[in-house]
Formats: sequence, C-alpha cells, structure tokens
Amino acid sequence: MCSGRISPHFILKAFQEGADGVLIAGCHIGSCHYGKGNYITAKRVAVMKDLLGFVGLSPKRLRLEWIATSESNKFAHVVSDFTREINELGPSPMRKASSKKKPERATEPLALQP
Amino acid sequence: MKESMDKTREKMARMLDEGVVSGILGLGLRHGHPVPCLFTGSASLKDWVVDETDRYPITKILIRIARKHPDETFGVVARGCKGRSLIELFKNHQLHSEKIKVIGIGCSQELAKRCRCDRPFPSEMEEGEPARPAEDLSDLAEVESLPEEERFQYWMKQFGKCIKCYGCRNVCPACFCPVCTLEDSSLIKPGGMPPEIPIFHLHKAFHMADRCIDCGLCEEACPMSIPVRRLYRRVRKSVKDLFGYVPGEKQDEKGPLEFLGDGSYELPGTGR
Repeated sequence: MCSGRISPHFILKAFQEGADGVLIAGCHIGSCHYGKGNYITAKRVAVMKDLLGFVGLSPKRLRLEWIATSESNKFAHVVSDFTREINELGPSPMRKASSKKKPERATEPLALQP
Repeated sequence: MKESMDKTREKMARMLDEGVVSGILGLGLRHGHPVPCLFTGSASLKDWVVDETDRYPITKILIRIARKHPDETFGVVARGCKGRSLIELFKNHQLHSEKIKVIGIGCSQELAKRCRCDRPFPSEMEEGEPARPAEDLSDLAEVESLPEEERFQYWMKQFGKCIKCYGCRNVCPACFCPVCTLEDSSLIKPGGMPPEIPIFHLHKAFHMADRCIDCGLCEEACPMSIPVRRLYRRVRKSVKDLFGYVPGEKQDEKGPLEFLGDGSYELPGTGR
C-alpha cells in the first residue's frame, strides 16, 4: 500500500485503539510509483506530530521512515530501534486512560505454581 | 463599528438598484435582534445593521442560497474572518468567485482584541480605518508549558465534556463536506457519550490544519466551553511554520495538505 494512502485518520484510530506507537514505512522520496504519494505523507506526518505533541501524546510515538523493498536490513534496524524507543516511553497514555475504567489487570505475569 | 456606515449603505443600494447583484446577505434588525437577512431591494436596506456581536456563519448561509440560485450574483457583507472563509470556499469550489461581490467592513479595535484576530479587516474596506492586528497566541503557550502528561490529562478532561452536538462543525465556515468523518462509524464508534475521545476532536483538528481561518466561531458555539479553537489554532500555526501557508490569505494558493495540491514537492521544515 502506498504510504500516501495512510490517511491521518488511520493514525489517530491506531492511537485511539491503544497503540503505543505507529511506524509508517514508505518508499524513498523520488521513487514514488504514483509521483507524489510519499511527499504528501511527509507533510501529513509533520503536522500530525505537532498535533499529537500538543495534546500530550509524545510525537516520538509516530515515526516515518523511507524503506525500499530491497532494504531488509534497514527495515529490521528501524523496527528494533523503534520498539526500543517505545519501550522506553512506556505504554500510551491512551491505554492508561481507558484501562482506568476497566478492572485492574495484573501487570506482572502470573507465577505458575509447580 | 460605531460609524454610521452610510457610505457602505449607499454603495449597497446602488448595487441593488443597478442590478449588479440580486441580493445582499447581511444582518438585519428583526424584533430588535440582528439576524442574517437577504436584502433584495434598496428600500429594505434601512433595516441593515452592522453589529459587533455578529457571530453568524454568514458565508455558510450564502452557500445554501447560491446553490438554490446558481445563475444569480449575490453580495455579502464580510468582516476579515468572513472574507478569509470566502477565499477558502472559492478555493474549494463551494462558491463561484465571479458570482459573489464582497462588501468589506472592518472591525473595531476592541473586537479585534476580543477575537485575538491577526487580520481584523477584509482585503477591501468600504470605509473607516482598519484595526491593528491583535494576534495573541498566549493560550497555546499556556497549554504547551504544561508537562506532557498533564497536557494529556488537561485535554482528556476538556474532551470528556463533549456532548457531541456537532456545533463546532456545523458553525464552521470552512467545513462543507457532504460526508463527514465525525459521523463515520468505522472511524469513530457511534453512540455513547462523550464520543470516543480524543479521536473525535483530533480528527476535526487535523482536518482543519490547512483550512482553519481562526474566526473562533467553534469555541463560541460550544455549549460545553471546550477550548477547541486552541487545537485548530495550533495546527494552523504548524502549517504556517512548516509550509509558510496561511489559510484564507491568497485565493490562488492551494493548501499544502491537499492531495491534488499545486504539485509542489516541498518537504516540511524547508519553509518557503
């Protein structure tokens, strides 16, 4: 799917559903099959980051990377780096906000009795 | 504006008499209250008033009238904010610019200050002196000074007040889509009060990024006093900082977030 197809609504929907981070990977600038799909994505993501920051969701939770189909190493590197960053940030405040209404869930894995 | 506006009234009467326009949309006094009226004869212009408490989305009303009478030309009395909304509506093909004649009126300095307006005058004013811009972004700075977590709590508390009346959307002079994301059940769960937050308000906020003309009608219309204008002002500022684009400023300039924009391939941060 072209990264230009990523409507800002999808990003917001992911955060609303409790996603801790959203990674958008698109084709490099200049190699868009459709001409300008990735340019519009770059613009949208920049504005979206500002908006997220303004409402108190860290803009670091949204990342845009240009990864070509042949760049499997880059893909692996970006995903592990982003995962590490999100781990440091902790769970999304959205999740904390919605889990307040629900009964407390065990945060520690249950110790299995031998 | 305290002036008598006689010069403007004369011009409007002339336009109607000469048949330049079929009607002029402005405010008329009805039972002592200023309400939007379509003046179709120069004699009826005696009821025309300029009121500082005028908070009607008059350009939105104009869309309805113009759609019903596509062959007629209409005049509209417009302040700075209404003028900006007209430009956005022309750009988005909701009104034909050649079918609309604008009668520009300025705002008083007090009104400009109250609205924190950065452009309290139309592009062409019939009479009087334009007020000085009174742009004030201290409301944004106030929110931004909060630490991230508190900012999130602040907004969730504000959004939680929402009664989903759609007032902010209905009054918005830059909103015109026949199908609205806010009523899309696959994006926002229908039913329930308050609506799904913060997605409900953020959807609209993002949509306003290259459209918001910062008139402040949304916040005034909100029965729950949610400071939605802050959100829209913030994205408006982002678009200005990133792309140097100000909605409602130039008619021949397309919004940077429009897919079928002007073909400019500029990336954010470079400015213009």
